[in-house]
Amino acid sequence: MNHVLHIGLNHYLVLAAILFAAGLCTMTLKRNAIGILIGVELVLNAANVNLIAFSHYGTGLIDGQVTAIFVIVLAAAEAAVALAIFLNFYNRLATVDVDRGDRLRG
Amino acid sequence: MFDDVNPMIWMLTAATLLPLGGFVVLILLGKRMGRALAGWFGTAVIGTSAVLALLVAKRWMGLGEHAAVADLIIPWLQLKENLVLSVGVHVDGLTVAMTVMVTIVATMIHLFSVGYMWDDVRFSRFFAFLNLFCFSMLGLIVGNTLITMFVFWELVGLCSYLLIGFYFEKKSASNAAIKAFVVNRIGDFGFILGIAGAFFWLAREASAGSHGVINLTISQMNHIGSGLLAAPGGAPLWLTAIGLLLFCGAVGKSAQFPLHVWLPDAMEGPTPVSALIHAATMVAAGVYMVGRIFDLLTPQALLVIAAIGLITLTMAALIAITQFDIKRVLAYSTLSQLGYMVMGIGLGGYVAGLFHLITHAFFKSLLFLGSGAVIHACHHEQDMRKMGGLFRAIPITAITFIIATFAISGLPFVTSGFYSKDMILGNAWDYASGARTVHSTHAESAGEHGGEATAAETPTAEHGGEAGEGETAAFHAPALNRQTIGAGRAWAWMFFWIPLVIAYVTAFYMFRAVMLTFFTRPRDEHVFHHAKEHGVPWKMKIPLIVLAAGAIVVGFPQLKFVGWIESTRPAEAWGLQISHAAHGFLFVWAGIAFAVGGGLAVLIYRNGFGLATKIRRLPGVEPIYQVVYNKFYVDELYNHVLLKLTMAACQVSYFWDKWVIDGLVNVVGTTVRSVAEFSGMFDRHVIDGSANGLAAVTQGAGRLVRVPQTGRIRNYVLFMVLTVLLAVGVFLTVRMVQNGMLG
Amino acid sequence: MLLTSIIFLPTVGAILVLLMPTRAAVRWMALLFAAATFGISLMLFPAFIGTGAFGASYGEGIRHIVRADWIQSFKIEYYLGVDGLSFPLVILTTFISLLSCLAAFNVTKATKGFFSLFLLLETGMLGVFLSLDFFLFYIFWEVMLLPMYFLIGVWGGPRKEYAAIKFFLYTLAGSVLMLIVLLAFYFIGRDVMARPFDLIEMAANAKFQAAIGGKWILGMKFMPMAFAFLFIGFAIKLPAVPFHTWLPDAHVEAPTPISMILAGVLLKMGGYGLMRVSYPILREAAVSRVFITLLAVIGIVSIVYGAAVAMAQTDFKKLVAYSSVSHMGWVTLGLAVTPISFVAGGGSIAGFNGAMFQMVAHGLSSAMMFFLVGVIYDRAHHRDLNRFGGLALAMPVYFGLAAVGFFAGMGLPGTAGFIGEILVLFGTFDYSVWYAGIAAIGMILTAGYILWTIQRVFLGPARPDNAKFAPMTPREVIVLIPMGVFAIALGIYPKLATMFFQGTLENICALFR
Repeated sequence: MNHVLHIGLNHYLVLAAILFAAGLCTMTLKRNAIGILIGVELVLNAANVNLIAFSHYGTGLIDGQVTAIFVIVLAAAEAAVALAIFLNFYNRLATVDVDRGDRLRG
Repeated sequence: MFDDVNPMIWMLTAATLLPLGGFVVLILLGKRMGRALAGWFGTAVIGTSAVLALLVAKRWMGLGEHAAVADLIIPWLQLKENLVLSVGVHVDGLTVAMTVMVTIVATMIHLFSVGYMWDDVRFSRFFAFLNLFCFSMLGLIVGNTLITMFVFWELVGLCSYLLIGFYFEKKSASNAAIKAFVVNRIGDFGFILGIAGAFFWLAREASAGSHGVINLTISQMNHIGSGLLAAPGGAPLWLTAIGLLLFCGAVGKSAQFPLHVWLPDAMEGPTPVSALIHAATMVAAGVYMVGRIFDLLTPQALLVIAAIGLITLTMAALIAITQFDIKRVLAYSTLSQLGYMVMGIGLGGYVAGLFHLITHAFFKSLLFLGSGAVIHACHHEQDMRKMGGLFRAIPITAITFIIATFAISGLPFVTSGFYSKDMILGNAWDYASGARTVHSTHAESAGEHGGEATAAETPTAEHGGEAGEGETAAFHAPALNRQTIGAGRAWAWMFFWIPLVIAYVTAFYMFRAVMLTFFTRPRDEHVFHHAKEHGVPWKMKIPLIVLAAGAIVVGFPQLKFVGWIESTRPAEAWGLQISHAAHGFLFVWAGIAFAVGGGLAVLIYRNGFGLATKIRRLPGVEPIYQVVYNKFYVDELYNHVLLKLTMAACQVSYFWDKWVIDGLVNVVGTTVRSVAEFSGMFDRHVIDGSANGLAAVTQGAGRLVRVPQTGRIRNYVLFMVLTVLLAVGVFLTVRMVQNGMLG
Repeated sequence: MLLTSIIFLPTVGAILVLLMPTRAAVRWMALLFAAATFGISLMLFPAFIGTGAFGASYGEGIRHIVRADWIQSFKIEYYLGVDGLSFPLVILTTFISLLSCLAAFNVTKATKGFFSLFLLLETGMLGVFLSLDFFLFYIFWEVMLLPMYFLIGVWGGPRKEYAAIKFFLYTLAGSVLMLIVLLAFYFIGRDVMARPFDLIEMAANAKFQAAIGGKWILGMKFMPMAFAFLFIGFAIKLPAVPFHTWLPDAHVEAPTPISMILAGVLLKMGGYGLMRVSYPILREAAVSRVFITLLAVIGIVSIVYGAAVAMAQTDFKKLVAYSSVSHMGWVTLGLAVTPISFVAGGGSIAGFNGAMFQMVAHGLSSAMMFFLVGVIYDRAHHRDLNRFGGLALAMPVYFGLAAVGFFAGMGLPGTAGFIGEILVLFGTFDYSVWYAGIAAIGMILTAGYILWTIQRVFLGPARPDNAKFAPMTPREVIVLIPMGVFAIALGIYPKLATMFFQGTLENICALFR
C-alpha cells in the first residue's frame, strides 16, 4: 500500500508525458487557433511539471521552480502575442481556422 | 605705315573701292531705290572713279615721262619666316593707262545700260553686278602682286559668271555662265601653280644675300626675272615653266586657243555686259597680266605664247566670217583681236600688245554697244539674216558702228586700230626679218629719248618697291628677253604673213556685218519697222558717240597712251621704233587691208546673201564652210569627249565609293554580324544550355521539396514532432546497437 | 576655372532643360546656355592678343591651365588648357553650337531629349578641344559619341538606325586604335615621366621621346605603328578617303542642326587630334618619307575623289557631305607636307596654317551649306537635285545667302575657303610641285559641282511647285548671316584668324628642328 500511495518522480513524469502528448495532439489536430494555443499551453505546462519534479527529486533546490515561473510568464507573454496575431488573422480572413492561412506554402 | 604713300595710290584705291561701295548699296537697297535712282547711282559711282582716274593721269603726266613707280604693300599671308604673300596697290604708266581706259569705257557702258536694261525686272541687280565688276577689274589693274591679281582675277570671273547668267531663267544662259567659270578655272589651275612657282622659286633667288622680309611685288619679280634672263647660259628651265603656267591663266581669261570656247557662249549675257566684260576689259586682263610679268618670260615661253596667239587669231577670224548672229561675229572678232595682242606680246612687242589692248577696248566696246542698240531697236533680234537696211532707221548707231569698223579694220592714220595693229605687225616683221637682233635697243632708245637717263624699274627688296634711279645704260641688255628663237628664219615669217592676211579677213567680216545689218534691203519687215519706230534713246546714243570719238583718238600719240605703256619699260621702248623697211611695207599692205577686205565684203554682200550663197555652191566650198561654221568642232570635241569623260569618271568614282568602299564596309559589317549570330547560337545552345540545365535540376529539386511545405502550422508541428521522434529513435537504436542490446 | 565652366556649362544646361515645363521653355533654355557658353568662350580672347601670347615654345603657350589629380593610381589628371591650336576651334564650336541650337528650333519630336543631348554633345566636343591629359581627351572623345549616336538614331531620317550605328562603330573602331596607343604611351611613359598622360609633356620630354623612338613591339618599330594607329583613328573623323563612308550616310540621315555640328565641329576633331597628338609627339614618324607620301596621297585623293563623287550626286545633302570629304582633304595634305620643311631649318608654315585655316573655313562654310540644304528640305520635303530649279526667283533672299555659302565652299577669293586652300596649295608646292598640281585639279572639279548645283537648284525658269514655298523666316536668316559674314571677313583679312593660331603652329613646327 505504501508503494501504491507513495507518489514518486515517475508519476510526475508520466503526468507530464500525458500532458505533453495531449498538447501535441491538440496542436497538430486542432484547426482552431485557440485550440492550438491551448495545446501550446499544455505542452508548456508539461514541461513545467517536469521541471518542478526534477527539481524536487533531484537537487532539492528551487531552480526548477524558478524556471517554471519564468516559463509561465513567458507563456503569458506568448499567449498575448499569439492572441494578437490571431486577432489580426481573424480580421483578415474572418475565421480562426489556421488551415486557411497557408500563404507560406512552398 | 601709310605716311609716305604717294597720294596717287590713295586716289587709285578710292577709284577702286568706290564701285564696291556702289555694289553693296545697290544689292541691299537697289530694289527700294527704284529704277532711275539705282541706274544713275551706279553710273555716278563709276563716273566718279573715272574722274579720279583722270586726275591721276593728269598728275602722272605732270610728273614727266619717267615718273617712279609707287607701291603700297600690305602683308597678307605668311608663307615662311621671311616670305610673305602681300596685297597692295601700285601706280605706273600701264596702271594709269588701263585705269583711264577701264573707267571711261565702264562709265559709258553704265550709261548705255540705263537705257538698254530699262525694261528688265532685275534692273538694280544688274547695276550692282556691273559695279562689282568694275571694282574687281580695277583691283586687278592696280594690284601690285600676283596674288592680288589672282584674287581680283577670280572676282572678275565671278562677275562674268553672274552677268553671263543674268537671264538665268534660260538654260543656255546658265550653261554658258558655268562654262565660262569652269573653263576659266582650268586656266587658273595653271595660273595659281605659276604664282606658287614664281613665289617660291623667285624668292629663292631673292633671298640670297637679303635678310629682310620678301614680299615679291610684280616689279620685284620682273627685276629678278630680267636678271635671270640676262644670265650667261640662258634662263633656267623653271623660269620657262613659271611663264607658261602663268600664261595658262591668260589663256583662260583671254580666251585663247584651246580654252577659247567659253567666250562665244558668253554672249548669252546682256549686250552691255558683252561690251564691258567680254570685249573691252576682262578678257583683256589676260593680256594685261602677261604684259605685267613680261620679264619672267623666256624666249621659249614667248614662242609658245606667240604660237597660241597666232592660232587663235586665225581660227577666230575664219569662224567670224560664217556667223549670222551679230554678237557672235563680234565675239569671234574679239577672240581674233585678243590673239593679235597675245601674239604681239609673244613676239616681244610688249608695247604693241598692250597698246592694241587699249585701242581695242574702245572700238570693240563701241561695236558691242552698237550691236546692242541694234538689238534693242530690233526687239531683241540678233540674227543678221533678219536685219538689213537699218541705216535709215537708226543712223547715229550706224555711223558710230561704221567708225568702229573702220577702226578695227585699220583705216590708216585716222583710226586708233591702225596704229596699234600696225605696231604689232611691225614687230612681227622685225622679228621675222631678224631686224630686232641687229638693232641695238640701247642705241634706239637713247636716240628716241635724246639720250637722257631714264628711271629704270629697279626696285629691290630693301627699298620695298620704291624705284630708285637705276643705271639705265647698264640695264640695257639688248637681246635679252626678246623673242630670239627663230628670228630671221624662214618659218618665222608665218608670224608676219598670217596676221597680215587675217587683217584683210578682219576687214572682210566686219564689213560683211555692216552690210548685212545697216545696208542691203530689209529682210524682215517686222524687225525693220520696230527699229524705225523705236529708234535708239539718247542714253544709248551718247555713249556711242563718246566711244566713237575714243575709237578714233586714243591711237594718237598726243594722248600719251603709248607713252604711258612705254614708260613702264623705259629700257626697251621700241614700241614705235619699227624698222623703216617694215614701215614702208606696212604702210602699203596693211594700209590697204581695210580697203581690200572691206571692199570685197561690200561687193559680195551688196544685195544680201545672194552672191554668198552662190559662192558656197562652188565645188569644195561647202565642206570647208561647214567645218568653219561649226567652229572647227572644238566645242563638240570638248562636250562629247572631255566633258563626258569627266562625268563618266565622276560616276565611276561614285559607283566605286558606293559599291566598293562602302560595300567593303558593309561586307565587314555583315560578316561581323554573321559571326555574332553564330556565336549567339553557340551561346544559346551550349553555354546557355548548360546553365539552363543546372537551373532545371534545381527547379525540380525545389518542386520536390516544396511538397511538405503546406503552409499549415499544425503540419509543421507534426513534421517537427515526427522528426524529433525519428531522431530519438535513431539515437536510441544506435545506443542499443552500441550496447549490444539488440543482440 | 574658366575652362571648366566652358566645358560644363552646357551640361548644367542639359540638366536644366529636362526640368522645363513647355517646349518653348526648353528651346529658350537651351539657347540661353549655348549663348552663355559662347559668351564665356569669348573671354578667352584677351589671352591670345599681344606679343608673346603663344609662348616661346609649345609647352609654354598653354593658357588658363586647370590641373587636379583625378585617378591618382594611374597619375591621370583633370588637366585643361587652351593654346592657339585649340582656341579657334573652341570658339568655332561654341559659335556653331549656338547657331545650330537656333537652327534646331523647328525640332518638334521629343524636344527635351533633343536639346539635352545636344548640350551634352557640346560638352563632349569642348572637352576634347580643351583637355590636355590624353586619358581625359579620350574620355571626352567617347562622351561626344553617345549623344551623337542618339541624335542621329532618334531624330534622323528614314535610315537613321543604319547611319547611327555606322557612325558609332566607325568612330569606335578609331577610338579603339587610339586607346591602344594611349595604353602604350602610358606603359612607356610611366617609367620616364611624372605625368604619363600629359600630352604637352609627352611632346617636350626628351626621355619619353627617346623611349618611344627606341621601342620595338612585336618585331615592329613602335613609333610608325603608333602613328599609323592614331592616323587611322583621326582619319576616320576627318574623314579621309578611304575611311569616309560613314559621313554621307550620317549627314543624309542626321537632322539639319546635327549635320551642322557634324560638319562644322566634329570633323575638325580629327584634324585637331592629328595636330595635338600625332604630330608633336610622334615627330620622327611624321617626317618619315613613307608617312608624308601616304598622308599626302590620302589628302590628294580625298580632294579630287571627293569632288568627283560629289559631282555625281543627285541628293543635295549627300553632295554637300562629299564636298566635306573633299575640303577636309586639304587639311590632311597641309599637315602632311609641312613638318619636313622644318627639319633642316627654315621651312614653310603655310601648310599647317592652311590646314588650320581650312578647318575654320570649312566649319563655317559647310555648316552654312548644310543649313541651306535644311532650309529647302523643310519646304520641298525632298532633296533631289533634279527636281529643284528656279528657286532664285521664288526665294531671292535665300538665293543671295546661298550664293555666299556656296561660293565660300568653292573657295572663291574673298571668302575663307580660298585662304585655306591656297595656303595648303602653296605649302604643298614647296614640298612637291606634282602633288600641288594634282591637288589643284580638285579646285576645278569643285567649281564644276558647285556651279552645277547652283544651276540645278536656283537657276532656270520658275516652277509652279516652288511658288508656294514660304520665304526665309527671320530665324533662318539670323542663323545664316553670322556665318556668311565671317566666311567673307576671314577671306578678306585672313590675319583675323591666323593671328590667333599661327604662334602655336610655329611652336609645333619648331619641335621638328
